[in-house]
Amino acid sequence: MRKREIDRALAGAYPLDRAAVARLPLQAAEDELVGQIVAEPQEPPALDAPSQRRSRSLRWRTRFAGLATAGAIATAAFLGLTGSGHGPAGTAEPAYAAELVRLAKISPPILFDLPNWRVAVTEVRQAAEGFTEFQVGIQPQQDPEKNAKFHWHSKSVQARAGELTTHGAVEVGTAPVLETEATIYEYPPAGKPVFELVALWDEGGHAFEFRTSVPGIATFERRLLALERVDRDRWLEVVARDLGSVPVKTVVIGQDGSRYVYTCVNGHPVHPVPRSVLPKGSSPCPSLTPAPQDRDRDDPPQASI
Amino acid sequence: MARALAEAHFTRLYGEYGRDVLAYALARTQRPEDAADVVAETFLVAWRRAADVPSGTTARLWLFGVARRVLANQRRGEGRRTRLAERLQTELPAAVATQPEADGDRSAVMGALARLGEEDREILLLAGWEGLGSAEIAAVLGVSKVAARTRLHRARRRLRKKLALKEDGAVVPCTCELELEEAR
Repeated sequence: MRKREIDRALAGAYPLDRAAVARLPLQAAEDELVGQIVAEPQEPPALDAPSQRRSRSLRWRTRFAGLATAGAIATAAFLGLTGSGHGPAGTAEPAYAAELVRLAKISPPILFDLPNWRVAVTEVRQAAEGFTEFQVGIQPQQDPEKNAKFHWHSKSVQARAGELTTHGAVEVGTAPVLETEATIYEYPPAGKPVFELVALWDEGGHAFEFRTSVPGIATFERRLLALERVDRDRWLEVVARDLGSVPVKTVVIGQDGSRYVYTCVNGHPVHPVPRSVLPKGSSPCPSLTPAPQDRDRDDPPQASI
Repeated sequence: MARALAEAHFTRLYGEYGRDVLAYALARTQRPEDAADVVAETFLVAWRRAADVPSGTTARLWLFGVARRVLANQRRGEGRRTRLAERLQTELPAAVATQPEADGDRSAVMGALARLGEEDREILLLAGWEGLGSAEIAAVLGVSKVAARTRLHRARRRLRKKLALKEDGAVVPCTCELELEEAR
C-alpha cells in the first residue's frame, strides 16, 4: 500500500460523525461543567521565580539592545536596504535586499529543518532551475556528510531519472518527502564509506531532487523528512539569516554559451564583469530572468562533495 | 475583575474547542462516560493552568496534548473519575449516535492499529483522524517537527506491513504477518 492509500484507510476508519458530535444536545451539561470548573481554584501564578526570570531576561534584553542595534545597522548596510525591499522603511517589517527578494520569488520555498544546518548557497540558473545547498558543522566542504543539496529542475522527473541512471545511479526504493513519495537512487559507493543518495520527485510536472551523502538509509530518510515547505517570508528570513555574511551568487549564460558565476552584493557584482560577452541588455546581478542561451547543464554525480 | 476575565476567557476556550476535545476522546474510548471524564479533566487542567494555555489555534493542540495524557492515565487505571462531569457522563451516552458499524476496511484498519505500539497508534490517529500535519503533531507530542515526521513515517511503514489492498480496493489484514504472529 502506498502512503496515500494508508492515509485514506486511516481516515475511513474514523469512528464518529464529526458533524453529529458538533450537534449533540449537550449545551446544558457543558454549561454546568464549565460552571463547575471555574468554581475550582486556579494554580496561583508563580510569583517569585518567574518574576526573577523576567527581570533577568529584561536586563539581558536591555544589554543586548545596543549590540542588536549595531548589528542591525551593519546588516542593513550589507543588504543595501533602500526601501525597495520587502517592507516599508520605518516599520518593524523585515526588509531584504532586492536580489534576495527576487530569489525568493523564483525559488521553491523549501528549507532544511535540522538543528545547526544552514543555507550555504542558493543559486538560480534560470527561472525554473536552481539549487539550495545546506551545510552543517565546521569545514563542511571537506566532509560530504555535512552537505545536502536541494535542486529544482525545469525538466520532468522521467527526463531527470534518465540522466541519473545514465550517470550510473541505481534506483533503490521510495521514501516520503514533502507529503509525496520520492524515488531513491544510489550512486555506486566506489570504495567510499558513505552512500551518495538522491531522492527524485515530481512537483507540478518538474523534477525536484535532494541529494546528500550519508552513512546509512535511516540518516537519509531523516534528512529527507527534514525538508520543509515554508512560506516566502520564512524562506527570506532564514536565507537572509544564513547568508547574511555571504554574498548572493547568480549565474548568467554568456553569448558564447559559457556559464558565468557572479557574486553580487547590494545588487552589484563584486568582480569586474566582461560585459562584451554577456547577452545584450543583461546585467549579472539584478537580472535573474532566463538567459537566452541557457545550456542544459547536468550536475555530475557529487563525487567532489 | 481578573477572575471575571479569566472565566470569560475559559468559557470562550471551551466554546471553541470543547467539541474537538470531546470528539478526540469519544474516538479513543470504549464508553462515552470515559470520554466525558477526559473532557472534564482536560479542561480542568486548562483552567488551573490558564497561564500555560497558548493563544489562538495552538490552544487546540495544547488541549489535545493534555487529553492524550489524561487518556493515558485513564487507561493505566490511574485516572480517578471526576465528580465534575456527572451530568455530561449521564447525558453523553444517550446523546451519542450509534457508532457506525465496522465495515471490512475499518475492521482491518482497527485490527492493524490495535497491533501497533501506543506511540505509533497515537501519531497515526493524530494525522489520520485529527487531520494534523507534522508540525501540529510535534506540538501535541512536545517533540521537534523532524522527530514527528520521522515517527509518523515509521508508524505508517509499520501499519503498511499489517495491511494489504485487494484488487477491488478493499483493505484487508496482511495475512502473511497474521500467520507469522499465530506461529509465534
